Amino acid sequence: METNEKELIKELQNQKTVKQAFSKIVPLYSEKLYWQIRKMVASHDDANDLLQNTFLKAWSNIESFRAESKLSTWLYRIAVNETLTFLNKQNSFSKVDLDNEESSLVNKLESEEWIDGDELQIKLQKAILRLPDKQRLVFNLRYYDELKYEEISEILGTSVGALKASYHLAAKKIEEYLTTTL
Amino acid sequence: MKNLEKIKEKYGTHTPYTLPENYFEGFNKKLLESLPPKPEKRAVRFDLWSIAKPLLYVAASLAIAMWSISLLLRSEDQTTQPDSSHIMAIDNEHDAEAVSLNLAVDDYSLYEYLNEESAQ
Repeated sequence: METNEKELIKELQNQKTVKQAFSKIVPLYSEKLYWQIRKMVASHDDANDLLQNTFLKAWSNIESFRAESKLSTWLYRIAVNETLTFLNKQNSFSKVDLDNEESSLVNKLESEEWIDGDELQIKLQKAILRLPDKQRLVFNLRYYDELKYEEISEILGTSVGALKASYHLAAKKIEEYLTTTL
Repeated sequence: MKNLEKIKEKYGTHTPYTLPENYFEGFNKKLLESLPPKPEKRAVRFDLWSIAKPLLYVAASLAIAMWSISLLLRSEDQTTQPDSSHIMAIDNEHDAEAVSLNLAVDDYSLYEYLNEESAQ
């Protein structure tokens, strides 16, 4: 653990300096967490709400942070939990609509205001958004963030073997989609 | 995984997503302003009675339990142990016979026995 992080954790554990320390954490991690969430939910508005919930949850549970893991891992975990809970709720709503063949996330991507990519980027995003939530999460962490399997394992609490299998399966599905879709 | 490298080459590692201008500055400021205050931890007040009370309860319970046990043991001693003075008094054969009669002979046998004695 870096010295800066150690000092930050000390400040977080002191009631007098907790707010000051938290005001350092927010700008330090908001961008990384935002992109992690955004790649999962596609919509900027949803990502904004989930990022806010992530930090509010971190703030209300800061006393329970025991520094057994890195601060960034702890925050990632909260963000992942918030995002997966949100997506589960969304999935249970969209399953009611049996005529909806396209993933609801792909629909969101198509109607998203904050988007400006080329055709290939959008096509890849559509392929990724069609993946099951956990597979998409693993794929994003590996493909875009280039995290090691060990780091992903720490965040998700899943074995390295299972993560490798998940990533290979996701890559295969994406490859199939990209080759079969014009 | 070779194909994945090809995908990376062709599609790149950039997402098509964009953001409103100065989004993070605005977000950070707004979030920090909206943080609910942490409830202040109340100082722990050391009240002697609150510490002594459970100890007193335990001590009183123990005392009552010990007193009850000793009382029980004493009463058991009294009921199970024979009267030693009575035993000491039975020092001749005749008395011993009388005691055994007391224990095992019914009225009819006793009359029979006394008749036999008087006949002799």
